[in-house]
Amino acid sequence: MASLKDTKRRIQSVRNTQKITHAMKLVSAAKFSRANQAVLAARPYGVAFDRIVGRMAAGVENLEGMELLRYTEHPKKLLAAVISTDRGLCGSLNTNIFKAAVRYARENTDQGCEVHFAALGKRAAQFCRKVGFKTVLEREKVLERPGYHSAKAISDQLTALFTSGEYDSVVLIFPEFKSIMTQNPKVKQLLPVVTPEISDEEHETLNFIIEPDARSVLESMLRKHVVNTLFRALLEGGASEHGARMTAMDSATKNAKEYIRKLTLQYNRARQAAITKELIEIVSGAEAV
Amino acid sequence: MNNAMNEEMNVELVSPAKSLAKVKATKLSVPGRDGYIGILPGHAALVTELGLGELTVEGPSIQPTSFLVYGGYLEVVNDQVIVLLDAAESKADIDLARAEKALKRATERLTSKDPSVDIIRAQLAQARAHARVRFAK
Repeated sequence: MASLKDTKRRIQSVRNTQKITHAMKLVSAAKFSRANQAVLAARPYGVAFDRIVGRMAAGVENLEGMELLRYTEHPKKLLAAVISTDRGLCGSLNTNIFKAAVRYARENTDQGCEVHFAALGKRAAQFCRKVGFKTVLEREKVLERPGYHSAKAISDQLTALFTSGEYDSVVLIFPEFKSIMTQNPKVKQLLPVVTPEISDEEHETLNFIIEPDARSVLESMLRKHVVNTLFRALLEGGASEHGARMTAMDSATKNAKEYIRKLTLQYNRARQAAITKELIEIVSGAEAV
Repeated sequence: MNNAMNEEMNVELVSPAKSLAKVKATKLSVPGRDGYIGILPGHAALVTELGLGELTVEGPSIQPTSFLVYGGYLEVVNDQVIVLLDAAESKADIDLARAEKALKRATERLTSKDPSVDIIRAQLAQARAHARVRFAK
């Protein structure tokens, strides 16, 4: 059995860890509220944009030849952009994403496709290296205050890989932010662009004047739609990261508390046993005299 | 199809980072890609691409507000106007001294005859800086 001193040392060490996890939880909570605000702030733009793109796509008669809509019936080469965090200690967030990535890769390789990866986040890059996925693009710090500009830079690269014909389809695998407790890995097609569906009554308002002309406006909109989709995925990823870390650190803190309780109990028992032992020794010593 | 009797229209200005304004307005002026466009209540349904320039929105119940915009889209349907901006700055956002410095730098780069200069990028930078300086003044 561990000595009194050892137990005391362990209690202290757990207490220190608890302080760290507690501090991390508070930091994550602050970061989370900022990230969550960013997600909410981006929503009106995203909703309005989706609607306009949907209407435009439904209104343009001839969608043939638009390079961002190039649909391949039997895609051969696929690119999956995996969004992960840079640092750990955020529960099963990354693990779930990687599981989804592996599933996606397996399903498609079974059908004879070649799947390559774009690792957005340090952990994703490490994971791809570990399991031997081929990456064509690696980025770090994508979830740290994701900006529209950085999203554009990444999406331009992904779009270029698609339009050059190198890949037939590009998907995003990212944590969809549901709440602080739940973040589900989501696979979303980025390219070819899936134009948002519009309801029937909106079809009636399709008589637009379009400047300069429908086709060129739609083409530039589609490009921006890709940027916007990625941007929103990054924002959700950011909120997910901090939310997940907050939950993970909260349960770590609770765990530490429980552990301290157990150790203290053990410590007190050992202390009591030592006292009893000493007393017995004194008593039996006195009897012997 | 539009209700021409309406005297005001709802104008919503949004950018990816935030919602900038949601107001009732009687006049809106936006920089189209090929020149400024004025929108009044009762405008026909329109979708257009925006360029670089100053956007102004006016109405009886609001202060005339203007933003410097760097491209985006505008949609008008039944007096509902949505302006999707890539980025926008208000006068307070612009640091005039910095903008002037950027303009000078961009102009220098354009006149430098250095073969490594990306002319198109420098021209865009100059146009942006120029618009910024003019807007802030």
